[in-house]
Amino acid sequence: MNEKISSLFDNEIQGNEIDSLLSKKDRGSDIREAMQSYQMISDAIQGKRLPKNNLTDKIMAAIDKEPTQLSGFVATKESLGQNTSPSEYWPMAASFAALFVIGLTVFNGDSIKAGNNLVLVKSDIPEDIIIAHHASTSTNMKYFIKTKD
Amino acid sequence: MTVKIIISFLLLSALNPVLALDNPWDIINKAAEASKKLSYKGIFHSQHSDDIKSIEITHAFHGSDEYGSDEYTRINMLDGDFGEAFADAKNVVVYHSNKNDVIMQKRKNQHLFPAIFPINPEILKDNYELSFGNKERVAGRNSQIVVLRPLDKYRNFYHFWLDEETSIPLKMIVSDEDNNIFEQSSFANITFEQSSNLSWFKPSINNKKQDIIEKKSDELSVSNRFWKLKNTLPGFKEVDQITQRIPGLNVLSHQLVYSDGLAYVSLFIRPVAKDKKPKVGEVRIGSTNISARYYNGYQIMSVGSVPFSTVKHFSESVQF
Repeated sequence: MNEKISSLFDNEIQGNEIDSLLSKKDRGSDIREAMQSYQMISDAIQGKRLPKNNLTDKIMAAIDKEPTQLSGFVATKESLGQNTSPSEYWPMAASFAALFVIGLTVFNGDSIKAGNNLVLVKSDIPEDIIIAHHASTSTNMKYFIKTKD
Repeated sequence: MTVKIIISFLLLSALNPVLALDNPWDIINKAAEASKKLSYKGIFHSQHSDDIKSIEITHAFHGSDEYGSDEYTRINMLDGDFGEAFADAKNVVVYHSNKNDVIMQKRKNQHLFPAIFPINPEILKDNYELSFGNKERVAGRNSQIVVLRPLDKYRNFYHFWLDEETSIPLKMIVSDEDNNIFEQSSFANITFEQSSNLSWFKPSINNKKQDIIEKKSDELSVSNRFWKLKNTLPGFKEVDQITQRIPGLNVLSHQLVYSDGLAYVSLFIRPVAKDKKPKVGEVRIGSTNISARYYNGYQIMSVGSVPFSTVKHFSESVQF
């Protein structure tokens, strides 16, 4: 069986044999473990070895929790994890770069000249700013201001 | 000569009780303590700009220990849309009507009248001058007028009518130096009663007719504070930070709250969207002043019921 699994990941199995093997993988933990091992080995041989601890997934999850900011990135060793090697920074760097490009596409960065600013008028004030201010600071009935649904 | 000085001092003391006290600020300390450590129930009128509402407050104090204060407050709006707030030592929950349902939302804190003083009122000494005024009746009770006059141009005037018997604030007016009133709250009636019964500490919602929908907080914890403030105003300290994700985008909006113990300023730091032009300048909405500034791709806005010079100072202080 292990031989067949190895062949599967090396693209040496075709047609019905693939279906047969995949249907068997759900039946036993031994087969599942063997498939995971061969997957890792195959990736390593083909230069696709995953970083330790599934780092990419962890970084993507961390990025999702710590959304993009256009300035002030402060990367510390602690924030990157202590067990990472330099080669493992690449997926993270790529992710940050991608999000940074998105940020620059959607947001202005610091490209706006002073003359392009508009003079503030009442209608420019986002309602949620006024609501957020009163909901967290008010000493009067404005405290009961309705926050947006 | 010495006799003349003593006589002058005694005459002044008789006219102005502030001189007769060992520490005039004790009256503010007592007022702060009374609003937290007395059990009371009353109705006060609350005005902000042109808007006036009646509010009922029930407050119970069941003692305190090293772990905190056993304090319960229920505040409900008597006018307009349904609104209720419940606060104990750790939590604040606000209920709002929404068509046939009720929205429940947790808040981090509340500074509602009459408990408007900071935990440590001593911090006010550095930025306000205390003076005593006349005695007046408020809500059928005798009160002493006390005024906190700002020592600089960055704050408002606070006028308090403090209950002679308990020191609790019965009335408060916030004004500028020209006596333009921005905000006032005044008890119409108040009673003091110590009771261990907490049956009133529950929302007045009809569970059979109304569903309670909890509005989850979308607040995020952010350690990457990429900004800093240069030249912060005397006495103003950061008391809160609220960070939320701008809906639909992987970008954060930061709200920093600063207070000198009485006045509050919110400072918002948000990236400017590509299709938007940043705004600069100052406007007033009611008694709330707003100052906007564009800086390095971010729209900076500071908001507060404080003088323009204050909000402007905060928005111009942000650096990164």
